[in-house]
Parts: sequence; structure tokens; C-alpha cells
Amino acid sequence: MSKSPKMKRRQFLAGAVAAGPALGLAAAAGKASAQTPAPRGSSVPPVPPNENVLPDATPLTEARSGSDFMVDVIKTLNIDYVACLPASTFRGLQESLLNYGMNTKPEFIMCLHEECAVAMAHGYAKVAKKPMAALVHGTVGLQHAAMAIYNAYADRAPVVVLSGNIQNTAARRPNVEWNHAALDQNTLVRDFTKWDAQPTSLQGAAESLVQAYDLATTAPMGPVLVTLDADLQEDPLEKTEEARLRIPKLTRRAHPQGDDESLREAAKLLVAAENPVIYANRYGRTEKAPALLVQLAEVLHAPVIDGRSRMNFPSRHKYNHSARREQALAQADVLLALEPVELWGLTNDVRDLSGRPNLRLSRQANLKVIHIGTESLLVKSNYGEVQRYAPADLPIAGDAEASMPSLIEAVKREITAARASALAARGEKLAAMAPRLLEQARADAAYGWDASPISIPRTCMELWDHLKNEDWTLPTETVFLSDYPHRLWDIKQSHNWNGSSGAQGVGYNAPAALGAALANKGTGRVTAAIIGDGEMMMTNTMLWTAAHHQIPLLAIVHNNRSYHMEVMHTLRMADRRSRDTSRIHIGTDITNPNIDYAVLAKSMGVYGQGPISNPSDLGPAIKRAIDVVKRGEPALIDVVSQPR
Amino acid sequence: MPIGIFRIVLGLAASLVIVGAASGQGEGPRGNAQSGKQLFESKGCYSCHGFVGQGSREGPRLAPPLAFAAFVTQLRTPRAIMPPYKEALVSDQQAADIVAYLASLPKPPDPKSVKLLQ
Repeated sequence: MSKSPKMKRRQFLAGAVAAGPALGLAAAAGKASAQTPAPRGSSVPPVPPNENVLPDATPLTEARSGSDFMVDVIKTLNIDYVACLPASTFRGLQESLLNYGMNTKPEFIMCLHEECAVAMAHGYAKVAKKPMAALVHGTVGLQHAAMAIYNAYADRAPVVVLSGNIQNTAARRPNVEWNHAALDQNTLVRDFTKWDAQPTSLQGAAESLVQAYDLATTAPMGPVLVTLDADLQEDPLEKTEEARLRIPKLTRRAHPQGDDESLREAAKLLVAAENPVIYANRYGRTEKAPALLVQLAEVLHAPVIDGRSRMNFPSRHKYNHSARREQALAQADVLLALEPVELWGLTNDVRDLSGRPNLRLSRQANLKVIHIGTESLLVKSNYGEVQRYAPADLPIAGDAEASMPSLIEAVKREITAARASALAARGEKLAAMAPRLLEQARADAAYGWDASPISIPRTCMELWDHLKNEDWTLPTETVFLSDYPHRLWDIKQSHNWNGSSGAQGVGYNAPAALGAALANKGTGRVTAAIIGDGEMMMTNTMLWTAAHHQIPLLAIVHNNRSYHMEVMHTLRMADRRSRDTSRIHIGTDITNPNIDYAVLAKSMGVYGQGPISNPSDLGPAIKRAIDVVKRGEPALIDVVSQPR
Repeated sequence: MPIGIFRIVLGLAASLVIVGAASGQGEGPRGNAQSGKQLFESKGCYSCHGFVGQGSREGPRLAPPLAFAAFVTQLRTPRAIMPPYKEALVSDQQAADIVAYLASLPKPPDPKSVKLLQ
């Protein structure tokens, strides 16, 4: 043989994959037959006469490889971390990241499951306000990662997922490498990524990586996937080829904003309304978002209902009327919906009753709906996150936060002196309601205060007692906590609350909390999560990652010893059919044996306490755990809890 | 009228009628709080309302309980999305036991007296 076999593999890739799989196979056959002619009429594949003898020109070492260049590209993107567990399809890139990139920018964060790696990146992005990468094995690793990618997609969170593949069938070693390769592995998750690429050249890889980052971080944001071919990673990078390579510069674009004319029209409607209501759901994208919404609410003297997919609005602001959502919406004559996600559900419902009746909620007949959001700018068909179609009276395609400064200015221009005084009078009435809402939440929290299992508000307030004088992040969902943190805590800043999982795929909360803690590492912020026991068991290997990388996270396990949502679902079915309810715990309870989460934590090097059933033991336990977290280490408390 | 709304309206109307009637009728069967506690769990009441009837996002607070007649009305013809519990599933006697259990629970502390709730 006169040519390097490695060079032939890269040439194969550039031609075959770009032309499609069928042509690729034909091209591969052509290359192979050109190298070693098969006997005429024979079906025996061409192999060297003595398979134990390598061709003379086979290089045994190489100076610089394609994956070194990939690291050069990744370093231009200012990515601090890459979460991964090791895998053969990206062994070239892994070695380059460690030895050529010296394990900095990005630094490896070792996970023990791909779902954890991606969910970590998801939680990280929402606190850091920039993506980190998740590196997952080809095929099987991507399959593990799929649910977490789906959550990030439904949550419109930027995650850069990288993977490997051995595209060249002639380069795959027998057995495993065939099982861990695919013609088009990205198709596994294409329904729920914003964009994906499988570049077939190093120049293509450079452009794909930069483009992926750009697309992931421009609203509507979302996860992206770049599969990097093993040949491209592993083949030597010749000086002549390297001289031709260029890394595109990442330039940041503005997020799409609603058009000025529509925003002026929205301002007119809002200022003229007697009872405008602002609904914000996936609105808050940056640290500035809550303050902007406060400005709008205070100019209009309008109540804000928080849908809580993001930190949108301070929980104790006088115009936060989330606790009287239905009453406020029932009175509204103009509804401003900011990234509502589920616009139809603001005026309608499908009741969870036999026959699933659709009903129009109690709303004013003259209600006008203004919708500002990016939902229509990223739409795919197969999964249902687009939700039910609901026409708005004034639909404005654009990122709500990006549109906010223009909307505020337009509203200010519309307000006359006389109107300002009427709006202020409305504001006084609204402000008078706010203390009563907090009082009601406190009264509700008092019921079951000393109960065992420990009540949810008791757990929340024991934790709040230790957070209220800190800078802090609650990175986990509160829907299974009966929203008590939002009802009782003083949530002010964007990083205080990290929003929802997106698609409610169980397994998000624990690793996403760790990602948030990673983003907070070194800032002095205390990251404290309340994680359901079912959630914890899906992705508990994140505890080892927390200990291994010394990521300070307080994980409180809300241990109701069941998949409790499913207890309620099964019970509902039994009730509807007037059948025995005594068997609903089969297949829903996580008991017999009870899981000891403190021991689980300790087994992975994490400080663990519990199970705690006596409410008076909880405060001191949290104090001890926070001390551990402030030392820079993770800690876990197992709290035996009421269901909700 | 959509079926769902019809059901809710009917349920509310029935509830008002029976509550009105109940106010002039006794308290129903004598309940056993211990048995009620077991029923509260085995019948799944706790799943939405909490083990001590404190309520949650999924179901309202039940403690202290409604009078027996109103309680049974809500049980048989519930408002909102609670599924109905027919006599075959929860008898009047069992309902009385549950009411007795809820009535036996200690009063919550005054929230103003709880330091953590300030």
C-alpha cells in the first residue's frame, strides 16, 4: 500500500457521508476494491493475505490530531465545563481535552449517567446564563441522554450536547463498535433539539460547533447536538491541512423583539384597560428580567400572575397576585401573556373527569389577549410541547424579555396625567390585597405544623430560616411542594429560583440542582434543593459527581416514599370506577424496604443525615448541613414528608 | 351547557340543599376517630389532603371538618375535580369515622406564634 489508511478514512468520510448513506456504502465499496482488488467473480471481501501483518505505512504514533483542533474551536466558545462519562466514540476528543486542552475551559465534570450529564448542563445554563457542554457516547449514551435533552428542549434551555460516532463502516472494529455507531444517530433526538449536525470534515466541525453555540443561545433557545466523527477526532492532522482550517468567530446576535407597531398597540390596550392582568411564564431569561417586569407592573399598576417556568417576578411584590390567579384572571379585560407556553390554558381547561370535558373558564366576555412570545418561532410536530392552539387578539412574535424595554416606554407614552391617577388608585387596592395573601399562606402553613411525617411548609420554612440571610438559589421545582416557597419565601432575584424542568421528565431535579450548584460554585451563594424521592432514585449518581468534584449542594430529599402523583392518578381511576382503593399502593409506593437516602449519600462520599421524621429535629439538621455546604462540600438530608 | 359545568352546578345546588337540611338534622352516625384515621389513609383521602387534613395544592384543607351532612354531600357529589366516593366505597358510617378523626386533630398553632412563619 502506498497511502496511509488513516488518510483514506477521512477522504472516505468527506465523500461518502455528505452524499448520503447509500452512496456512502457504494463509495466505501469502491475505495476498498481500489485498494485490494478482489478475485474476479469472488464474493470474498478483500483482506490482506496475512491478516496479522499490518501495512508498512501504518503510523503507530501521531503528533497532532483532529480532536486537538476541535479543542481549539471549543476554547473559543468560553465553555467552562463539559459533563460526561467516558466513552469510546469520543476517546480522541476526551484525550485532547485532557492533555492538549489541559482540562480547562472546559473542565471535565464526570457523571455516571448521560441523563445526569445533560440535566446538569440544563440546570447550569439557567443560573450561569450561558451553556456548558455535555459529552455523551454515540447511540447508547445518546439514548440515555434523550429524556434530559427533551426536558431542556421543552424548557427552551441552551445545552450544547456533543457526541461521537464511527461513521466509516470500514473503520469499525467488529462487534461493539458496530453496536455503538449509526448511520444518522442524531435522528434519535432530532424531534427535540433546536439543531443538530454531523460534520464530515474538520472545517465543517469548526463551523458546526460555533453555529451550534450561536443557535442554542439565541431565543428561542434550546439544546443542540453535534456528533463528531471518530475518524475526524483520531486521524493525524497534517500541517498542510491545518493551515487551511479556519475557526469562525462567534458573534452574538440580538434576541428577536416584538415589532414596534404591535408593541404600541399593546400599550394602548393595557393603558386603557380597567383590569389588566400580566401573566408571565417562561419570560425571565436574564438577571434583568424581574426588574423589567416590576417596572411594567408599577407603571400600569397591574397584578402579575407568575406561571413559574422561570423566576419572573418578586414573590412578595405588592402586585404579585399569583395566589389569586383565577380571581384576577376572571376580572381581567386585557391579559398580557408573556411567553405563556400554554396560552389556551389561560382561558380554558380540560377537567380531569370522566370524558375529559373542555370548558371555558370564567372570563370577561370582552377580554382581549395580548401574547408576546417566541413559542411560534421554534415549533416541531411530533411532541406536544407546542400545546393547544389559541388565537390571541394581538399576537406578537418576539422574545418577551427583549421586548420589555420598548413596551415599557410605549406604555409610559400612552399614560396621561388623568389616567396615571386612575391607575394609581387601582394600584392602592391591589397593594392592599398582598399582605392578606401572605397572611393566608402563613395560616395554611400552620396546619400540620408539628405533624409527622413532616409537613411541606414546615420543611420549606425550616430551610428558609437558614437561607434568608444568605445569597441563595433554590434550583428545584416547587409544584410538588404545594408552591410553598413561592407563597412564603422572599424570592427576589433571577438566580433565587431556577424554574421548571420543561417537560416534567422525572430525573431532572437532582442533576439540574447540581448543575446550578456548579454555576454558583465559588460565588458564596448557597444552593439548596428540595428533591422528591422518586426524582432522586432516577438520577442519584449525581451524588457521586457532587462529592468527586466538591460541588457544594444541599439536597433535601422530600421523601414521601412513593411516586405520589401516580398514587393520586391510580386513586382517581379507582374512585371513578367505585372500586377498592386498598391496592393503589401496588406499583406506586417506594416502601418495603424504605430507602435510606443518608446511607446512599454516604456511600458516594456525601455528608448524609436522616431519615428525619420529627419536625423539631429538622432545623438543627439543616444547620449542620449548611455548615458542610459552606465548607464547599455537598450534603443530603432525608426528610420523611407528607405527600404534598 | 357543557357536561362539566352542568355537573359542578348540580353538585353545588345539591350541596346547598343538603347542607341547609342538615343544619336542622343531627350530626349523623357517631364516628370512631381511630377507625377514621385508618380510613383516611386506606381510602386515599390523605393523598390530596395530607395525613392530618392540612390540605395541599391538590386538595383543600379538611381540618377542622365540615358538619357530617355537608361532608357527606361533598364526598358523594364533589365540587371541582374530586372524584365522587359512592356509598359502596365509603359508607355513611365510615364517613362519620373520618369526620370524627378530623375533628380529633389538635388545633394548629396561631401562625403569629410560630417564629418561622414570621
